[in-house]
Amino acid sequence: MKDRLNQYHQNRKTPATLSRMVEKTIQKDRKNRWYRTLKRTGIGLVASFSLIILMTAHPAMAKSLQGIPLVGEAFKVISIANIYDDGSYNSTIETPVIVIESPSETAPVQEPSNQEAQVVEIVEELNSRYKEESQALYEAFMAEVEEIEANGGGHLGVDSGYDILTDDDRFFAVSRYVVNTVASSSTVKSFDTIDKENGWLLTLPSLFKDDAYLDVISQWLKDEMVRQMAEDDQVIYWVEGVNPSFVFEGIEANQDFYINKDHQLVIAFDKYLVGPGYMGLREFPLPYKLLEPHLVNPDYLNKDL
Amino acid sequence: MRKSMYKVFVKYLEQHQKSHYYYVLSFVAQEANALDVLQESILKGLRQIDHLKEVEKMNPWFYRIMRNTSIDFLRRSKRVTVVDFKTMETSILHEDHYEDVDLTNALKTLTREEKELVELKYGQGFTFREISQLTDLPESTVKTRTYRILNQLKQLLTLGDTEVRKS
Repeated sequence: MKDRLNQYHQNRKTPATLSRMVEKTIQKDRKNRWYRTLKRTGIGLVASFSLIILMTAHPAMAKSLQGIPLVGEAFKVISIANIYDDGSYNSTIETPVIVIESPSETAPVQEPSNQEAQVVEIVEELNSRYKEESQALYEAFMAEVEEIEANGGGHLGVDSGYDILTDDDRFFAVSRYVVNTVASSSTVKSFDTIDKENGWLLTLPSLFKDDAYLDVISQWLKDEMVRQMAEDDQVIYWVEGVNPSFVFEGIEANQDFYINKDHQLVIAFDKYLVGPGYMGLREFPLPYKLLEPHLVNPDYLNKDL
Repeated sequence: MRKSMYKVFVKYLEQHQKSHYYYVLSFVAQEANALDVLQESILKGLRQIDHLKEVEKMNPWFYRIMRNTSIDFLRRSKRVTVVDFKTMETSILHEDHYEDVDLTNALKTLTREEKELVELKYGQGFTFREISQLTDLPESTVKTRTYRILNQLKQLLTLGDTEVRKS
């Protein structure tokens, strides 16, 4: 009996598609892997040394430490691009550097206010974080190229850059993106918002009195998704009943967000998080009325929207 | 170090894809489902491989991933899995001709757990201890069950052989 069973198992045939599926799946993961590596290393890096490099490299910023009125000034953002292209592999990594400029070169040097000093500190912190992450992205890209080469060659494209979303008296918001193109492209975004008046780098929980915002916003988003789906049948979100294996359950405490030009709070989702890939990245500006009872400071956002 | 673990795992996946496929198939029965579940398991594995510390643990670790993914799949599809007779028949006809048809049919009478046991023991050459670790059953239970299944199959086959005598 045992022999017969062994014999039986040896004679089995596998579907012809098996090895192709395995190969494709590994390839698919490989192209996402370098980004995961980046996320992992990006978090662990402490940037104290590059802060010094940055400050000396950009005298305008060093100067800003000496006390220049900042509030009301638009930030200047310059970018450093690192471009690599050899036909099969190409990457453009653009790193934003936020520069706070003096209103005039002859302005008298005065002690910065607390808030101003804090803004300078935040800007430095962001600059060095951006630099570190670009560096890690570039290293991950090169390591990935090496691995693809070792496995018989292929294509890889990485494009990273930023958009200034808001820059006025009150807020400065920037989004950074990484587009990874191999077979299909995937974009990952991250956001930072500075409150210039108070000298804060905003986090989502810091805007609210307690955790109640999580449920309030999540429920509103679910309703909004259902509403948008009813309006347009091209729109699909993973709300209950659409896709049994993925259901959007709610936002995370540190969900991606920013404050837009109209001073609305906008919740953002990367591709695949709330809907199928073709829906891309999704952003939802939240109505003021919804947030009002939960805000630490009701004057923070635009009350008319 | 991490990087090499990923590479080892990729090689392992390529080399053992047939065994992996059959293991998953012992749960989900149909080819297309087995391919789906295996793909999901591979993606999970690739995503988590960096947390694996010892290469020796790779095999039991990945079998556990496949096992959990398969059980999840069965749970999810409980309400919709309908195997109608037409599909069953064609799938039997589709399998290789010189195959042991009687045994194939006898194996179909086994429960999900029993199929998994037979697959691990006779399809993949797992030891009783390895099976016990993977399935969280005591080694003695695994042994008793295996022998019971062997007897059951033997009886079914003798019955079949006397009824329809084929060479």
